[in-house]
Amino acid sequence: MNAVRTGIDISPDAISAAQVRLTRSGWALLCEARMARRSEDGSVTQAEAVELESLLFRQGFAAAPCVINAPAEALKTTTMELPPETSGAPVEQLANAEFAQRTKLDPGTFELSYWGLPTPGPAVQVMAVGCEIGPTDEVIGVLESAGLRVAGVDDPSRALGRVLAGAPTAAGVRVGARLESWGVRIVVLHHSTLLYARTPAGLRLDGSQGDAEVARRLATEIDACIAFARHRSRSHAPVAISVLGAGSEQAGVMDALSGQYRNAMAQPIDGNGQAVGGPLAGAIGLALLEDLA
Amino acid sequence: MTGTNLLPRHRANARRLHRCISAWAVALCSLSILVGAGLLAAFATRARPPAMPAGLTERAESVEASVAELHAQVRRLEGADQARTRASASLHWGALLDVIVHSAGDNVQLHSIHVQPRPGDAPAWSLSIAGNAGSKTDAADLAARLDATGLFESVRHALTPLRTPGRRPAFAIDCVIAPKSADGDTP
Repeated sequence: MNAVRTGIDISPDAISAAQVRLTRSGWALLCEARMARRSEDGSVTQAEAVELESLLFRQGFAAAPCVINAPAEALKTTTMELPPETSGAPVEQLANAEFAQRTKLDPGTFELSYWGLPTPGPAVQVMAVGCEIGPTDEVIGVLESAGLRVAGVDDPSRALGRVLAGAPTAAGVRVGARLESWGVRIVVLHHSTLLYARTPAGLRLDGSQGDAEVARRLATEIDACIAFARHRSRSHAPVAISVLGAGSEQAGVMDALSGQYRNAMAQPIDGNGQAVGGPLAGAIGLALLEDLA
Repeated sequence: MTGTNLLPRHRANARRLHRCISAWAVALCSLSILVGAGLLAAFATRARPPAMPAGLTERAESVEASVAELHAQVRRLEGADQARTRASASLHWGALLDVIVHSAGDNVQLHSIHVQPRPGDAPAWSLSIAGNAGSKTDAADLAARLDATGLFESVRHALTPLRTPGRRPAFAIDCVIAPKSADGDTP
């Protein structure tokens, strides 16, 4: 415990960084930083990496292993059925082969992570996330050439799920929506297992739509996710809803959602009981990755 | 949450290798520091002779000076003895006469003293003393006193039949003078 990690969330319009210390009671935020993107094509440039490293130094970030989010174009998600671990079958090899077949990727060109989903029968259904090595390696190389030490790469949906796990609620199903200017990412957790992740098209907080319209469309997406989660988990357990990202600071959006979901709204907190800052949720979730190289 | 790190495998392996090398280097440095500290501690606490009590050094130096002085004195005495030995090879006539006159006393009257060298490699002399004494005993006492001086290798006296007009007995004493060797023995 008392490990210090830095999460770097690279999104299309900004790069957010958060440094946390893992404690017995959870985690505590140590430093935070945010810089606007200068790249036009979305890739991380050498100049951006140097500027980011300089910014982290000025903001008092300690030298600590960094975790970045996988590039959006490198991530692919699917669900698969696998034999149970107790069958003695080479489950990992089967998972890699099945994922390569479904996504039409060459085996060995991606890193795969998968976890079991709640299923009623004996079959094991897993949610699998694959990350292509090429684009990811390119981003890591640029960051490391600027002096940052990248020790982990993660799916931003899983990172969001880690933050949601800290919401003070006993609800069995948790829905989190990260509302940003570039779009929305919605994740659904059954207890601590990520069941579903969705990025609705055309829904973003860029000012082209009013807060009420954004809230109405977001509520529709949230309702659909709740219905999916209840179907998937065969459960009608209470639901907790959290809004993160820049949308959590939009009063119009938050008022509309609070009026609709009332007591189901539950914002996540850190180890000290402080509410998690919405714009930092992605970076904090990345920093909470435990499986570092 | 579930799921594992999506870091590319070759980078993860490189990081693990780097961490192993760093841990190995740290362990090696720690071991070197421990060994160095142990050697320093052993060197600092090694057995050494007990420190001299205060003042003993000055005392030892004074004793050494005394011994050196005694050596010098012995050398001086040896030189004097050798000089005396060399000097005894020739008679000191004045001293010899003083001894004879002092040994004669009031009752003895000396008529002649003859000294002549004796033949041989080592220097030696024959001393003949003639005179008359108040009694025979006085002549014998004179011979005994001469013998007691230790100057002569042998002392022999004899009474002569001649008598002086005062009826005093005449005597003759023959002595042999030979120089002493370096170790004090006569040749």
